[in-house]
Amino acid sequence: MDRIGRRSLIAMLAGASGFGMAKAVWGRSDLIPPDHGGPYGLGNTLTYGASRLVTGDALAREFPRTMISQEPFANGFGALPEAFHAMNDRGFVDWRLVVDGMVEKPLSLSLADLRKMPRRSQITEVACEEGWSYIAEWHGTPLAHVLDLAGLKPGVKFISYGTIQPNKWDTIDLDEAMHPQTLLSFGMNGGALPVEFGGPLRMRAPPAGLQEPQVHHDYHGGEFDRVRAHGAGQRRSRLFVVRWHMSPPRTFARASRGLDHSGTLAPGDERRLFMSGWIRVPKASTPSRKSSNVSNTPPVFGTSAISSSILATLA
Amino acid sequence: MGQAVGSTSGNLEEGALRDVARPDMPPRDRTGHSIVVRISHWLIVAAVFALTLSGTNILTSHPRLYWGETGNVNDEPWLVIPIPASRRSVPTAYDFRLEDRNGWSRNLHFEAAWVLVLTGLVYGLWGFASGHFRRDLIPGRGDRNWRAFSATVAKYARHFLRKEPLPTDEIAYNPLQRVTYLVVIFLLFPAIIASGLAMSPYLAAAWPGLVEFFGGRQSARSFHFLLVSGLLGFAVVHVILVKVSGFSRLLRGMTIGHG
Ligand code: HEM
Repeated sequence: MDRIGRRSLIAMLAGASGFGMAKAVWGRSDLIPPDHGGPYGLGNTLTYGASRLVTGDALAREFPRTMISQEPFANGFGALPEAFHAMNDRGFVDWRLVVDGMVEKPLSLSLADLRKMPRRSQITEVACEEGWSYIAEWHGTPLAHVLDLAGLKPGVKFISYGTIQPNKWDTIDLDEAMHPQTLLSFGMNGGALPVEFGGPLRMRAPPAGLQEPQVHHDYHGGEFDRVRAHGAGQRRSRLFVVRWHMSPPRTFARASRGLDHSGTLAPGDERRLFMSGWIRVPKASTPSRKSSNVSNTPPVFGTSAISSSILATLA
Repeated sequence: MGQAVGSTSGNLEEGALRDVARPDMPPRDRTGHSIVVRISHWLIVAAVFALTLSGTNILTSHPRLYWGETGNVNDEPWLVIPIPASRRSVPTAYDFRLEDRNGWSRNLHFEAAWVLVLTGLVYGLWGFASGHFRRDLIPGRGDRNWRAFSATVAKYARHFLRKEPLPTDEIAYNPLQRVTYLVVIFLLFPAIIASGLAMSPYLAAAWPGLVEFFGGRQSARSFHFLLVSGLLGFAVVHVILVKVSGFSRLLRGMTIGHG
C-alpha cells in the first residue's frame, strides 16, 4: 500500500472509531444537557458532559474547621413579603416544606420534622459564579432522604424548588439531588440558618457543579439581582441543570403564584410558595426539544410539562 | 523543507513529515505557513477575543481579586480592578452599576474555551508530529545563547530608537520570537487553561490537587487574571512586531499561506 493509501485508511479508521465514540456518548443521554441547542449548545454540551465524566461520584471538597470564613458574605436581598416576617417572628413554627408532585407520598414537613431526620454537617465552600466565595459549616438533612421518604415515581429526572418570593426557583437533576452532600440545610456554623443566608431552609448543594454557577443567569438575564435577592429559602449555588429548565421553571414561576400544597392551580391564592419545585418526567418533555417544553399557557400540575413539585408554603 | 518554497502546500506537508527525524533542518519559509498553523492561529485569535470579551464581563460582577481559598467583599483584596461593577454589593469608585452580562458571557466563555482547547490540542499534536516545533520554534543550535537573543533585541532597538529599517525578507522566526512563541504555547496557555479549570466546582471535586496547586480557589482566579493579562500583553507586542516586520507579507503568510 502506498503512503497515501495507508494514510487514508488510517484516517478512515480514526474517523469510524471517532464516530462510534461520539455515538456512544450521544447514547448516554445523561451526558447531554437539555440546553444543547442554540448558539451555545455545543459548548454547554461539552462542558456538561466532560464535567460529569471527569467528576463521576467525586465529593466536593470539605475543609478543616480553621478555614471557616470569619465573615461569610450574605448577599443582600430585597424586601421579603410581610408574611415571611410574621413567620420569622414566630420562629418559623408554621413554616412547612411541601414535597409534592411525582411522588408516591406527598409530604408536608415542619422545621422540627426536618431536624429529627438523619443529619449531615459539612464544611464546604459557597463559590458564586460572580467570583466571590466563603466557607461555612452547613447542617441539614440530605435531600435524598426526604425524596426517599416521599418515594419518587419512576421516570423522575429533575427536582425544582422555589422560594417565598414568586419567580424565584431553581432546578437540579436527580443525580445532584441524590448526591450525599446535597442538603436541605437548616443550620450554619453551629446555629440556626440565619435569614440573610437563606434561613429557615436553603438548598445547599456543594457537590460537583452544583455551585458551578455556570448558568442560572441565563434565563433571568438582567433580573439576576432580584433573583439572588430572594434570600429566604434560596439556594445560592446552582448548576447547569437549571438552565435546562428554562421553560418549565418559567411556566412554573407563573403557575406557582397560585399554587397550593396539593399542587393544583388555585388562581388568586395569596399564599406564596416558600420552597417549591417539581420533578419532571424525561419522556414527557425530552429536555432537548425546547419547543415541547415551551408553553405560553401556564401548565396545570400533572400535565406533561410539569409532573410534580416539592412545595413549601406558608401554611 | 525551506527549499520547498513555491511548491504547493500539499508537498510541504509531505516534506514536513519526512523531515521529522532530521535535527536542525532548515526552517520553513514563514510566508508559507502550513494550513494547520494558519487555521489554528486564527481560530485561537477568535477564541481569545471572545474569551477576553466575556471574561471582562464576568469580571465586572466582582472586580476584586484575593489570594487563598476564599474571598468576598468582607475580605481584603490584593487588587481592586478600577472598573465599575455589575453588582450593588460590590463597592467601587463609581457611582453607577454596569448591566449584568454574566449569562451570555459565561456561555460564550466556556464555548470559546472549548474552541481554544480543542484547536490547541490539534495544533500541539500536529506541531510535534510534523516537526514544526522542532524546526521552526525551537531556536537553532547556534542560537540558544544570550548573544543570539541580544542581537535580536539590538536589531529591534535600533529600529525603534534610530529608525533603522528592519530586514523584511527573513525566512525564519528570530531566536527571541521562537522562545516567546514557545513560552506562550507551552507555559502561558496551559497555565491559563489550568487556572480556569481550577475554578470549576466540578473539576475541583474531581481534582482537588489542581486547586491546591494554585493555592486555593481565589488564588486560581487571581492567577487566571494575571496570566491572561500577560497573554494580552504578548498579543499587543506581537501585532506591533508583525506590523514593523512587513505587515502585509507576514499576514499573507498567515492567511493565504504565501508571501
Ligand atoms: C492572542 C492573540 C494571538 C496569539 C496567542 C498569537 C500567537 C501566535 C503564535 C503562537 C504564532 C506562531 C505560530 C506558529 O508558527 O506556529 C503567531 C504567528 C503570527 N501571528 Fe499571531 N497571535 C495572536 C494574535 C495575532 C494577531 C491579532 C495578528 C494580526 C496582526 C497575528 C498575526 C500573526 C502573524 C502574521 C504571524 C506570523 C509571524 C511571522 O511570520 O513572523 N497574530 N501568532
